[in-house]
Amino acid sequence: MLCRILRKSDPESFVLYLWRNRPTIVIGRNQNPWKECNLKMMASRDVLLARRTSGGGSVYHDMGNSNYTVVMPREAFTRDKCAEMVSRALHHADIPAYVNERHDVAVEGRKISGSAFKLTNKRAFHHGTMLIDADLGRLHGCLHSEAKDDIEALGVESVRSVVTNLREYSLSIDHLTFCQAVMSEFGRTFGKLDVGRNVTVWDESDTHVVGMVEEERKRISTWKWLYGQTPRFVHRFGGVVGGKPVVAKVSVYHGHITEVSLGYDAGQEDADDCGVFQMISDSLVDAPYVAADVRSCLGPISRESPTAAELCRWILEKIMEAASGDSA
Amino acid sequence: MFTVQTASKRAAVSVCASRARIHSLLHIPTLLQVASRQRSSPVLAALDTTSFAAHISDKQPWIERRGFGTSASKAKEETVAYKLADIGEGITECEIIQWFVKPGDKVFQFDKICEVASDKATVEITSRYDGVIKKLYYADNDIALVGKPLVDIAVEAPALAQQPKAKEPAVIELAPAVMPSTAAAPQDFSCERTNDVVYATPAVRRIAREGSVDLRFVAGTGKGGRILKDDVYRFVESSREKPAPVEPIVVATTVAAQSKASRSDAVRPGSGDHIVNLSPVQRAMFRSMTDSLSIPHFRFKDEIEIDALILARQRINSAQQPQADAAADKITLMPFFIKATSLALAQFPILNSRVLAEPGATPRLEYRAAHNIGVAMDTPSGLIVPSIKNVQDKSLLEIAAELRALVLRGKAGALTSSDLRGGTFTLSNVGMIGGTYLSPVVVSSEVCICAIGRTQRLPRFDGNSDRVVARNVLVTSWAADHRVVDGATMARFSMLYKQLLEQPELMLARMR
Repeated sequence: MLCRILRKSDPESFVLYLWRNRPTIVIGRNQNPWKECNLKMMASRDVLLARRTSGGGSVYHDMGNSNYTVVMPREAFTRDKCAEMVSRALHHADIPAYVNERHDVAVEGRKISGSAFKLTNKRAFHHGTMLIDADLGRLHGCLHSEAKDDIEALGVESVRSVVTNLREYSLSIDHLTFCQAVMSEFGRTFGKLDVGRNVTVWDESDTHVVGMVEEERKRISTWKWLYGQTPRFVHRFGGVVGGKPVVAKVSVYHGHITEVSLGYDAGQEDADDCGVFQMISDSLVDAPYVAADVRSCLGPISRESPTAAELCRWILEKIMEAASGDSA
Repeated sequence: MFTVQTASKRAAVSVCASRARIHSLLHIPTLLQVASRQRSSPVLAALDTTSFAAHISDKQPWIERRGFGTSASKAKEETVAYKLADIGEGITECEIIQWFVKPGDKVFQFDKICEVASDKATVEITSRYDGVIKKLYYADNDIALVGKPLVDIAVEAPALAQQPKAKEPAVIELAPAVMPSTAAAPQDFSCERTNDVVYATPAVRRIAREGSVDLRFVAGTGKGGRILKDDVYRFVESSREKPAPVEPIVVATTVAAQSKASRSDAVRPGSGDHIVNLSPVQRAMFRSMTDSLSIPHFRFKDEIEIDALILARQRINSAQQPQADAAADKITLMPFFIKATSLALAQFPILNSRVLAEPGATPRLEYRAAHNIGVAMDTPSGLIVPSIKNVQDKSLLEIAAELRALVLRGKAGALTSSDLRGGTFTLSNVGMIGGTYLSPVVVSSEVCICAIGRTQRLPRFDGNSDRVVARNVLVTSWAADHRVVDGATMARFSMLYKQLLEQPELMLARMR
């Protein structure tokens, strides 16, 4: 939806868009889902994954989190402008918010809102989250990946901050009051628009909007977008198999494995081992980096020999920790 | 249709302000419907143009192109190393997320070349030239450095020579809505464009300036309506062929010049002829007046001596204790006018009705129980009419408080849609600005309107004697939809209204 608003709105207009959604982790445009979030926990707790088109780090959304987006002409864009607007809106609700050096909105040293930006030739948008009453336990659980340290990736890494809910500072704030505060501050900041006149509220009854949303949803739910847009990365892990310390290095590009290199730590491979390593490597090339696919590729190999079986089992175990996402 | 003027001896006849002015200043119904369809106000765009101009020049180094150091070459084609420009915010490097072109692709100015990402922002990089991509300097996910070549583009040499090396903002300039024409010769308006924003590179603008061409009237054939230099040449050719150009028609009415409305469209005296677009308020007025004047108007004017009213108001105000609640502030005469209207409407409900006239269907009258009296007010964005709802159920003090709140909201530009919707009758106190005898225009969703002129202290004969006394006189000018309201009804209504205001105790007798 955001892209549509970005591209189709009047080039000179300022648009404020407020919304919230079901529990979802939203990763930045070129982030690595395996590194940023705990896909296994997300699957077990019904948290969806989404990738947005603007940059920045990963954020957690649920119905206790409200999102705001401001679309504006490119020339009017600065990183702090909208964050400051939102802070001022919160002041009206008696919450002492401010913009920190990372251009995030914070209260008393804790982050309550994260921001991301997208700039095109003529338009730009700033969007941000606002934690009002979100499930912070789930937030922390889902945003912590076990394989984080093992994955070496390009792309933007999230910078972790201590977060808090607005609920800690105000008992009366909720999605609607937040929206109203932001709308009136938006009207004040960006012109003397009578904001009341230009507000459109969408819900399920707006069929044309629902149609558009459905189209967009299909487009961004493909595996290719969610996982395939991940920049090149390398997942290194080590362990002990058959009494010998092993290291593995899996290279992945656009979500598919490009190379697997295995080796014993002390360099004690013999010809058989090399043969097994080679077989494993060959079978995994081009496989999507998903546990189910890896398992089916390794299936035949594991029947070759006990060593092979053990290695396959170990690799699968390691990959499952990181890559329990949906299959391609 | 006939007019009735009550005969009265007057010492002087005050000439009202020009009729045209009053007509246009009075009431704009359904401004709400119009405004809600506006995506954004051109006022806003114009408001911020000056600050944007500053933005363009200093906050947008991303479009600054450092000198390429290539001279105008005699060769047909020249390969330019298009550098990754500064995307601002102190970023020195960013990752290439995806390419939109590959070597061999033809690109036009403003086409997307690639998308890059920095820590929090993704930025689309577009081409500055028309040409053919020759080489990509980076692969997907590589880190691109700002200021270093991004792609090689093969460009036609003449286009290159005209790219200025200066630090002018290259790509987009916002042409404000009003631009005094610098051209000496009047323009040919047969190919009009009412765009306020013109896309053209500085090179094209220079050619236009040299040829005294106003770019707003040139049809752009480039991508997205961009004006290319060929378009300018073609325009010059075609306008030379036409006969003597027509005098420009100034669209903005003189009303706009005098009202406080439409900052963007203010006509500066002595700046020469130019065409201006209507502001949103004017557009609404245009539409509504066009509708309203299809209604045959019956007009009735009468004088009201308001000395007793002034005294009543004084008494009420001195009894008001300063308290926390708003209803305790001093009141003006307007709440009296509003309440008297409602009390009189109780006797003549037809004046609170509405004509339902679908084309093809028989016309009907909708009688309305609520007296939602609209009060015309002059706000920074022009004259708009919010209404006070259910006046029949409200006391004078309650009406006064609501009126005050509406005025404050109007001044702040914060009137809500419910304020502006649902009016059933309109009162205009334009006498505050001036004018004695007025001819208001009935709102198309109502059947009656009253304009209150200014109060004058005039000599009158006291009763039947020959003694001359000073009286405070104001003239109310009524207009009603003569398709459904007859003259007698209007006259009687006006007499009742006059009676209520001249003897305020009678209002008391009728209050519920």
